[in-house]
Amino acid sequence: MYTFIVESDINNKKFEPELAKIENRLIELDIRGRWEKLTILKSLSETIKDAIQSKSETIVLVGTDKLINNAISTLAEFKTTIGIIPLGEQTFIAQSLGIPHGISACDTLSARITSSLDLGKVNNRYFLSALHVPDCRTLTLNCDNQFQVSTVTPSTIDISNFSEAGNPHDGKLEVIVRPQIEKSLFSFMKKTSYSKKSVFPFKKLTIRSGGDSLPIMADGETIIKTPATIEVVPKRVKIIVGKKRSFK
Amino acid sequence: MAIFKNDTQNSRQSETIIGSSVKVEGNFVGEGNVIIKGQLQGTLKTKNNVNIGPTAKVKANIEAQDIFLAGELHGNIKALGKLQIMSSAKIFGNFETQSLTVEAGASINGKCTMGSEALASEKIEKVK
Repeated sequence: MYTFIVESDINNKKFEPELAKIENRLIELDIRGRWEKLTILKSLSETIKDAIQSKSETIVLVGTDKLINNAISTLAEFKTTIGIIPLGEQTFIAQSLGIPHGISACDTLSARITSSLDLGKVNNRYFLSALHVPDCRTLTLNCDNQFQVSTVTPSTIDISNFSEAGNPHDGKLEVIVRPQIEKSLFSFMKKTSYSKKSVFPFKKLTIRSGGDSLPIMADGETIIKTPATIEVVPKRVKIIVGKKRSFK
Repeated sequence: MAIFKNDTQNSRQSETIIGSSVKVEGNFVGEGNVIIKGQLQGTLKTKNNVNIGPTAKVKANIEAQDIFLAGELHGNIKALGKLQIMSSAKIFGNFETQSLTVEAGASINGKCTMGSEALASEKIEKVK
């Protein structure tokens, strides 16, 4: 049985016509299940646990990357298959997984190509795609207790499972260090550019900042602060992916 | 850069890039290609290829399949396949390789052991 969980931001009049079309297309494809529409009062974690207790074999997340990031820590604890119907803005995770936006995602669900993917874990919280540490002045990265990376110039850090670099089947994550270079000619505009990036694949990474704690962000939201330990959890979730995914 | 041009084009392959804005210290053991444009101190061992760019400053012993060297290296090299030394390269250390290419202008300060002799000297060292 399927359970469809609709993000609270999607659960409004703007998306009603598209949600109706999706429901009709799913009926055409003979994909039936229970619909759960999230509200401020309805916890995502409890909704997932309820779905699993009622023997739901596939949980379909309907919404943006925010819903996926918030759901993944709970879903990682169970062996249920995850489906995604991307709706709204910020659906980069679905894009990397090769899942088309909106109603077309129903056909991806129907084709049911499943893939067991690695997850990242930061201080006991799981993430699927990527993390971001903005504007680091001095930072030390310890990779796999083997070598240490120090930044020479102010940089930004991205931890990627598959969003930009890496492959979610290789049992590794990638840390990408980008130096910030202020353009001197129009410095009053405070625009920064990124070049000379460094990339290190790792299984376990410890991030320490020289001065104050720095935020570690997923989908624009701070989820934790440095110091932090990030590690890969191989093949932790089974997800329905599309043919045009960014990895093999 | 022809030494592993095709591999570097594949962004989904596990590949390490040490950019010019970072400093790496320790023992790096990997399986993929490694591109060095910044600073490295310690040891580096990979089953694949190593590319040391002209801006790189390396103080490390390196073991890899093919090695392309255009920067500064203080340490010993063991290339199980090819070693390509470019005109901008400066080596302060010994190197072992099966196949060697040196461009005019390269600075080499060390002993070179090649082909079967490299393997023979390794066996003698193991017996000792």
